[in-house]
Order: sequence, then structure tokens, then C-alpha cells
Amino acid sequence: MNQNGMMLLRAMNGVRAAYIQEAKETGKERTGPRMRYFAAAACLCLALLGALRAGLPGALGPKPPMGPAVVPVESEVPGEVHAGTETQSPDDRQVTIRWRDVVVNESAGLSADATRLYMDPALYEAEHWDMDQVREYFGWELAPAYIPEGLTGGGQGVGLTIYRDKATGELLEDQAGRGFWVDFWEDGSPKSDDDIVIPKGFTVTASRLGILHCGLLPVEEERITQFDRTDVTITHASLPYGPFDPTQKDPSGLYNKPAGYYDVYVAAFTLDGVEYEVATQRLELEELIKITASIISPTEDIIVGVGCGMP
Amino acid sequence: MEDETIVELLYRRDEGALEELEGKYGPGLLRLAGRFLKSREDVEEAVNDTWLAAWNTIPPQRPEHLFAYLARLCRFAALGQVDRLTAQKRSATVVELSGELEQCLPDPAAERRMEEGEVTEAINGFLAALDREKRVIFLRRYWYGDPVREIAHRMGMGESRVKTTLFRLRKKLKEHLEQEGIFL
Repeated sequence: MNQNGMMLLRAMNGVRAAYIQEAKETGKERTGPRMRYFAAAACLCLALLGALRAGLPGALGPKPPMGPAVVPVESEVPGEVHAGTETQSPDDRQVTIRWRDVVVNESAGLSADATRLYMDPALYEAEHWDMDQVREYFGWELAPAYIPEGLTGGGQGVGLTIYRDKATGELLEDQAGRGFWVDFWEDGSPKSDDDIVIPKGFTVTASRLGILHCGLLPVEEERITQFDRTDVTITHASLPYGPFDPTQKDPSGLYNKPAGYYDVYVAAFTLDGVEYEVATQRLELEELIKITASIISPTEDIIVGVGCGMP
Repeated sequence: MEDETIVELLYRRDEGALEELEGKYGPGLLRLAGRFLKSREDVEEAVNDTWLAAWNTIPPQRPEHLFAYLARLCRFAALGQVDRLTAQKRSATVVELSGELEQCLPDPAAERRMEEGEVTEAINGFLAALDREKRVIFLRRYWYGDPVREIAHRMGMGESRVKTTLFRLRKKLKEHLEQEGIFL
């Protein structure tokens, strides 16, 4: 580190308060109001923690209005590469998604009871799997062909802690996940790069035994969207973030008025015997669709929102 | 809650003031400290140090700009932690910013070594001579540690223009420090 440059950086601490204030108030903030972890976001964090426990960074969340949906187009390709055979290397096909086919279920919010089961070490054996074992088990490394611009895997690969019944050797838990975020803390957990604490990004969670569906509360009647003949359930929730105004109530009356709301989208589907959940946080629905479509039909070339005259 | 009211609560030694401060300025300070520190624990510690320092210094202080006052405490705490971290644990932003500011330093053959306080005064003099836009760009980069793209967004201009402006400002600061006979 440059000691003299550091000294200048420190010396700037004494800059007049009026200038500091001026620099704060001039121009537009990147996003809206400040952030603060909303208590209920604990559930999302749990989902992330699940992923982290599996050795990868993870988290959730994105955005809303019922709208688009994905209908992959050139779907009848024989031998098409599904998320099963390898890391997803994009092929050169184009997938077209028609918004009119997309159905988004609206969830009331976060589920609060998604704590993972405690696996008593006296009865269950934990075993860590590295990337090679994950690839062998799931057929790929849980990195979709399409990743929205600005998001990265943080240099961390995917990993997984599985649990077996000590008595029988039976595999009891196999949930793996991987997170792609705008920024990361040094421990690999997701970090926001703006004033809203909730980081932008998405996670891919996979399990052959069944995903512990943490995150959004179930809807009464689930509606399905077809992605290349694969049934996908897309769910959205708009969640509040702080600071919360203690003098006013949110329209629901359940909590104080938040500084704003952010979107969480979750796409759940089963592919080649593996359950998947793609969960986005502060991303547009279109991004969720593209990520999901690229897992189902690996390609980076995905068009969403076909207009007049197009199928 | 208005800043004046929060300050009054601090004067009355009402701990509710800390909750108000955290709710109103916590996110901004977490973000500020996060520019200089890459570990979440370090960031939270810097912000907690800020609340403690605010509690211990108000009173007797009665800051006119409460955010600026807190942000300064927070930045001080964060940079203090940077000094204690090993090279690998230092944030890339700090390395980048200190590298850029290094370019502002005149030839070390200059006459005398100055104390940090004198350098601060020289920087204040430099900032006073700038127009508002340039001053904000300079401070957003070197005081708040903002990335160039974010400054460009804030100021409604292109990134290349921000980079050019910063380059010229660093050159100008170097000339200013030379005139003041400063080397570090």
C-alpha cells in the first residue's frame, strides 16, 4: 500500500463538514433509500446460509408485475443439452420467451420456518463434496449459461455438505447451491454495492432428494409456466427494506412504513431428476426468466418479450 | 426524526438517540465503511465505534451537519482498522485510492515535512478554490471512496469524463501542495 497516498487519504478526514455534506447531497443516489436488513429477510439469509453451508455463497430475491414468461422456442432439438451433462456451456441456439405465456404467482412474503434440520452427529454423518463430486452428482457446476451483467460467482466454486444416516449409509440431504452477486464480502457472502443493503444477485439451488423450500410463502393455487416443456413455477414477492418510519405504518399495518420495497423472484422446476430453485433478489423478472431458460436450454442467446407478429 | 432532535436526545443522555442514529444513518455509514474495509465484521465494528464516539463526544460537540460529523468518525474508524490489517486483508479500494493520491505528492526533495493537520488545511484550501461540481467529484472519489461508475451516475455524466476530471484534479492538487511546500 502507498503509505504517502494513505496519509493523504487520512488527512482528508479533516475536510470541512460542509463539503462532506455537500458531496452527500449533490446529484442522485444510485438507488433509492437506505437499506437495512429486514428481520424477515432472515429466511432468505437462511436459504443463503444453506448454500453457504454447502460451500457456496447464496441468497435470493427480485421483481414483479405479472408479465413475461418464457417459452423457449427451438425446443425440439434432439439430444439437447440439459443441465445435466456438464457445466453449462452455451450452445448457439436462440431461445425466445413470450411474455404472454409467463405466469407469476404472487406470494404474501417470506416464510419464517425454513430453518434446516439439525443433523445430530451421533446419528448422521456429514461429508463435504468438492466441485468435482458436485459435477459428478448433478452433472454440472450450477453455473447457468446466462448470468446477468455485473454479477459474478465471486471466485468461489460450488461445494456441498451431504448427510448420511450412520446406521444405513442412506443419503439424507444433498442440497447444493451457488450464488452470483454484484459484490462479495471476503468470507464469500453477498454484499450490496449501493445504498440498499439487500444485495443484487441470484442463487441456483439443486437437490435430487428434494429442496428445502425456504424463502417465499406458498401461494394458494400454483400456476405453471412452460419452459421448453419443463413446468416452472415462478413466484414473486415484494419485500420491504428499512429504515422503517416508526411514526407511520405500512399499508398492511403489519410493520412500520419502510423506505422502499425490493423484489424477490423464485423459479422452481425439476430437470433430469434434479429439483432446482433459481431465486433472484433485486433483479428484473426478465433476468429470472433468462437465467432459468438458460438452465433448461443452455444458451446465452435468449430473447424475452417478442412483439408484434412474432409467435 | 430531525437531526436537532437527535442531538438533543444525546445531550439528555437518552439512549434512544442511538437507535435513531442507527435507523437514520446506519445504512449510509455501513456503506461508507464498506468502501474501505472488505470484512463485514470490520465494517460493523467501524460503525459501532462511530456510535460510541458520537455518544462520547456529543455533548460537548453540537455538530451543525450531523451526517458529516458521523461520517467523519466512521471514516476515521475504518481507516484506523485498515492500518491494523495485513496487506492481504486490505480492501482493493483503499489500495487503489491511496495509489491515485500518491500521484498528487510533489517531489520528495521539497523543503519540509508537514503534519497531517497542515495537509488537511492545504486540502481544504484546494477544495475551496474548486467549483461545486469538481469538489463533489473529488470528494465522492477520495472521501467517500465511490467507484467511478457510481460518481458518473450520480453526476449524470460519462465515466470517461469523471476519470478525466479526477486526473486533472489530482494534477491540480499536486501543484497546490507544491505551492504549500508539502511532501509527506
